[in-house]
Amino acid sequence: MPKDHTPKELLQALDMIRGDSGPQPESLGALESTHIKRIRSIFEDPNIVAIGIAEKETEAKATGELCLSFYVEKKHAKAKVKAGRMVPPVMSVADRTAVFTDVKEVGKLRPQVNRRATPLQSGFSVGRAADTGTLGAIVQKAKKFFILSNSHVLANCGRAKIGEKIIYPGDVDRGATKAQPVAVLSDFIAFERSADFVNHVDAALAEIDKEFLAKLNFSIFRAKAPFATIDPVRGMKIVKRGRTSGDTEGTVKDVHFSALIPYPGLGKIGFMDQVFCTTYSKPGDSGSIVVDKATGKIVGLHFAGSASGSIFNPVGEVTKALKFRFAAE
Amino acid sequence: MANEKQADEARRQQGRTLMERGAHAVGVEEGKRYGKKGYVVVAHVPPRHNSEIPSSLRFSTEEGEVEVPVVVEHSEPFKPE
Repeated sequence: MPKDHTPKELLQALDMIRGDSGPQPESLGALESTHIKRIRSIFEDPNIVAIGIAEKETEAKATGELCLSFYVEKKHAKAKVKAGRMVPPVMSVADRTAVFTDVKEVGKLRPQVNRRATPLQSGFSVGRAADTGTLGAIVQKAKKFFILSNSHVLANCGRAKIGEKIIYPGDVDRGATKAQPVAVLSDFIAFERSADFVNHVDAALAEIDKEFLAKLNFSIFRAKAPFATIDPVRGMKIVKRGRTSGDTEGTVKDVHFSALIPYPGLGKIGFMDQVFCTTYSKPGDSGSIVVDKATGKIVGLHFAGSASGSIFNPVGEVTKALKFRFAAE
Repeated sequence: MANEKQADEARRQQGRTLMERGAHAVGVEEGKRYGKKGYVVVAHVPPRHNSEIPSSLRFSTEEGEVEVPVVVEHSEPFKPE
């Protein structure tokens, strides 16, 4: 049902509970204020994961009436719910009208991630053992095809052995299914462990198993085939597709960024001439290919970030280090 | 006021000094975001870090001495993602 047809009192109740645009308890009478504070305190219960307006169900049957719906990870018997955590069956709104509530079990909410079993494609989950990141691109050296991603995704930051199995999707995204090896680690750039800013790339290649050569999708999000590369410049608008945050955009702020990146088990690794952007990534996006939005040319390989920005290796350094070309249909 | 090339050179020459004084990353950005003209060197230091980051970096060129402003940005270190 479109929002326009949703009863006004339900929208009022939703606003009141969310607290953002609804009346503040301080602006209401003492009784209403206490009521709303109590309702809002229900959200301190980690079992409540969302709230909305949906059709009320009684004994698993839809009643045809809309109500205020509290979504919980797990629905407990009323006798097992603490008094202060109980969702009241009816809730009054500011003009003293009442709305019905309902509690619906939805399980644990997780962000959606880009994962699939086939075809092998840029922007989807890949990994080695327990490490999971993003498949950057299908690339080619001579007549062989490889997966390009980060060293910390495919090569345990240079501590893995050549020939180790690469799985698709990555370990955290395979659920109960058996790990699917699709490639073997074939090359990586070892980090120089120094207090100086000396490293240029966090990159590795894994040779794709013969049985998956017929299951390749060479497309790269927003990149124009045949693929070409471009040097980053300040102010460039960029796009990427990553395992965790999906399709996002950013802006280049600096093309000679120097940073000390703490790698688990290795300590701080110093990088120079990196490309610093507004935030476009989240953990799990490592290995994503970054594309110049204006030209559709490939500009970098994402590898690090924080709340204050995202960082990628310039693509010229990556191709120079691993000597490959981007494969296309 | 420093231009982009001068700010880049200041970072290249003295970025390590900033790192030794607590910066985990060193950038160059337009100064307007920080209320300054031209380009500035940005020293990213961890939150609550009592930094001894200088307010400017100086270096010599054939045309004379150049001074580039340094601004401090408090941020968590960047991590592999």
